[in-house]
Amino acid sequence: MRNRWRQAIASRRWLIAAAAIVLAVLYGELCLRQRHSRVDLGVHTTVIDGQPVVAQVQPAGLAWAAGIRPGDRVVATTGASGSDAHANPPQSLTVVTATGEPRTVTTSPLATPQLRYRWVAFLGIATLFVAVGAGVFVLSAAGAGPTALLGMSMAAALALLSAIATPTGTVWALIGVNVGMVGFATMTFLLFLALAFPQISPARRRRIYSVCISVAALLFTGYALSVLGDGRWYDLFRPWLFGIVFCYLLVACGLSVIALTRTVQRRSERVALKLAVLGVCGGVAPFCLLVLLPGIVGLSLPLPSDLTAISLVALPISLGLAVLTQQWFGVERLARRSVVALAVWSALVVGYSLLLDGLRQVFQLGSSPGAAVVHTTTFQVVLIAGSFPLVQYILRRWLEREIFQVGEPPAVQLQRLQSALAQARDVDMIAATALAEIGTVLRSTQVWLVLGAKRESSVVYRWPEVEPDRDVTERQPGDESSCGPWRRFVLRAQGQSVGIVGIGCRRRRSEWSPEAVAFIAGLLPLLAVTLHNALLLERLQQQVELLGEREQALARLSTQLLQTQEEERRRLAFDLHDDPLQRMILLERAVTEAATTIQTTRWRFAVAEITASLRAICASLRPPMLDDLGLLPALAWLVNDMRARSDLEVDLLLYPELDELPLNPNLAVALYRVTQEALNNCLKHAHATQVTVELMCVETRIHLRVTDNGHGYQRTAGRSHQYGMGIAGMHERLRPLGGHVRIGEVPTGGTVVTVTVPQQETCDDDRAAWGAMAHDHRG
Amino acid sequence: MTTEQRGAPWRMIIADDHPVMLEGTAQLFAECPDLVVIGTAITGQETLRLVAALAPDLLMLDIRLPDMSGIEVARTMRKTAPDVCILVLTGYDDPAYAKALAKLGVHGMLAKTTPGSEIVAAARRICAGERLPMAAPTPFEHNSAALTEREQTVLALLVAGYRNREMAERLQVSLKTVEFHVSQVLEKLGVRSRTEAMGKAIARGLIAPSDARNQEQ
Repeated sequence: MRNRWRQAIASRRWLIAAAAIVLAVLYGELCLRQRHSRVDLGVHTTVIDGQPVVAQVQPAGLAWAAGIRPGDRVVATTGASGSDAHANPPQSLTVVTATGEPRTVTTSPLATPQLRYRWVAFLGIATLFVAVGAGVFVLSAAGAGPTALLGMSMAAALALLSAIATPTGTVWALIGVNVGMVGFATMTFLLFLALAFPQISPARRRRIYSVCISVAALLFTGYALSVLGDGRWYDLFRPWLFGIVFCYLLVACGLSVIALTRTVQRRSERVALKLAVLGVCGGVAPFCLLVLLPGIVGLSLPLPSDLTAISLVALPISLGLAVLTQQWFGVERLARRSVVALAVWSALVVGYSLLLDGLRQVFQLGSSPGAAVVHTTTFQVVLIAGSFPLVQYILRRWLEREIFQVGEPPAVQLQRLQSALAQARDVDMIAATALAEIGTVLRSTQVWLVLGAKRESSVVYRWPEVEPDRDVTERQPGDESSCGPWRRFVLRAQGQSVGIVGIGCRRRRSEWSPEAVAFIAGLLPLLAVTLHNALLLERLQQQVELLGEREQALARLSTQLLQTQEEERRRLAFDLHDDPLQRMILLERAVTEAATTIQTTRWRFAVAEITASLRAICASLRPPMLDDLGLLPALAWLVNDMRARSDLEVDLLLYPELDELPLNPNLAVALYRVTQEALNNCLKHAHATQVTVELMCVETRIHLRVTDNGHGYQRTAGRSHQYGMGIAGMHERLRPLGGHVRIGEVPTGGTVVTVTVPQQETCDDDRAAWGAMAHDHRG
Repeated sequence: MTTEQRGAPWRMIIADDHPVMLEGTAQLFAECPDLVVIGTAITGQETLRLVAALAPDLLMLDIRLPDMSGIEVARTMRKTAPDVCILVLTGYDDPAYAKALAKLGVHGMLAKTTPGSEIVAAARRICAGERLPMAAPTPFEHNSAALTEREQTVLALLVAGYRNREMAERLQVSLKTVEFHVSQVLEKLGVRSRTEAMGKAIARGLIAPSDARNQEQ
């Protein structure tokens, strides 16, 4: 943005703008000098039917101030030399107005200071116009709009300054005023046309331009002819001129509204638009109301010209503050504000004029006419300049607050609500907060919110009721007959409908204020997104809970599975041992005792082999010493088995205090199986040649460590999926017992499996349970 | 003190959960006038009850009982009936059992596969007040015959450098069985690895290198 502005300033446009301002100031200066050097009455007379009649009156001239208006009959003139009124204007003029009152104006020295304020005011307004136009022209990008704006301000300046005087005399000054007015109106029209329809085709735009310029040229020509020629033409021509200018300006106002309703993306254009609307409201509207309208209907200007001039300066400032300090929320809001500002301004102008009138009469009592004029002028200028803008500002703010209930701007309300929503913990709280806020801000009878797209999962929140209604059968809780009219809004976030908000209005045809509309327009997306997020979060939490439950169930299941597997092995081992093995032992005994023949020897071998095989199977399923003798002999057996199965050198280090260690059977089995798994891993995956199994008890914890000299955990796990499963199995076995497994590597590269598990005292119930279980299996 | 001196036969109770085994064992003593089986039990609790009621001289005890282990029975009896001699007759001839039972003051332990005459003889010796060496099933240190024939074969093959799988193929038994045999051999020899077993076997002359060669052939 800053770069764009810098670019804009770096371009040559500011030269044009500066030239325009300089031109305006120079022209104003020339006019003022002309005024000082050659004071004239600012009146142009003509002869109609042998009777001299006032044809035109300069708006800022002495004659105008004295109440002389076009159409008045001239009774007497002094100082006019010959028929050339252009070269030698009259020194004094006496006329009879339409109502029959005589009025006299003279170029007395006393009138000059009074006029000077007016001239300065006119010059100020003109320069302000040109400065605004030039600023927009410099700052905005190329386009028809800014150029037209500059042209418009130049035309306005021309009209205003010509109203004072021109170096070439009254008649030309009058022509300048009218040219300026027509140019101003045309340029305003073209400006708003360009703003409202930026995408208009060049051909059509050219056509419109040519029509406008033709109309303007026609007006100029006709007006010049009428002024320079016969005065009767002027009377005929004037209402048409004013009417067309009035139409131009009104259409320009309409176009400005259209321009504002269109979305203007670029910031520079938005700024231009704001300033243009400011110009319309601050300049065009009072101009239309106060100058053109009376001109069309043939009335004279009813207000003191000082007041009009100074308040005209105050109005754009006040309006500008009203428009620019608030956020830009749309046409309706702006229009309402403008209407308020204008109403305040009009009322103040009327009030001040009455006040000033009264004051003037007070001053005129008991003092010389000359002193009265000086005092009055000084006093009223000071009074107007000092109090008018302030009073206007205060009144406008008060009225806005009263009419629109603008407690705080919608942006502030939204910001507060946003922070409140951010602190809300769950959906219920968000809904309650938002509904309460809507209800309070909009002063609704009731607000409801239906959440959930599906009918069966809908939840309805109501304000002022706080408790949500979970079982909703009807989609629309609002009943028009009982609660009044409703307005429904669908909340949408990420293309999905989140819910529906219903807002109850107090009256059937009540319109919302622009602030309320802006509030709702800002609130609904915010609420939708917040609710959407909260709902997502809620769902996520539910899923996490569900996952947690599932995980627990899985853990229970895996524990159960391991237990079942253990039981199964145990039962199988016992079953094999209890019957087939016993019978084989008896058979072996019988065969051994039988007479030794080749046949019996063979049988004996076969039987012995079957016995050995059965015992091997039983022991591998579940070594009997684990149940009979406890963990340590079982570990010894396991280690021995491992030695027999391979060339693995296995060392078993048992710490003596473990000798009589009473262990929970579950714990003994778990430690046995974990050791078995670790040893199997060493044998199958780690390519180890040496393993050490250490078991020790420190305080109330049992530590089991299996260290090998193989490849190490990382490499082994990387190569074998089964290895990982084995590790997971260890975790599963130890978890219900409160133990844990750590897999690490020793510096020399081998794997070390460390198990730590709290030692649990053997419980009699456990033992009984195991016994009973064994019994059951046997039965 | 013999039966003749005592004038009355020794009274004994047999505890075994397998009825056929129970009967087979009882049958051994049918011909012995000096040893009378006065009761049989198939559970640990029943055994304890019978011992308390009948106060026998000898209890012939199996380790696997349905409700409690024979070791538990022996442990209880050390407190309740310390005078009753216990001869454990078991299918498990693992030294760990022998060690555990010796601690409990059991008088003797025999493998179930022991021939009947030896069982009877052992019972007589215990009743006479003798205490059998508790490493009885595997008195390796004194008697290399404690290795069964099969185990000796396996040891020979081991010395000859056979892997377990090769032995299984050669002996036409399952790998598991071979592992079981090797495990028994290591246990009985009291060594930490197969290599050590070879060394010990040769050093002690349990197996001659020539034997190994013979086995190989």
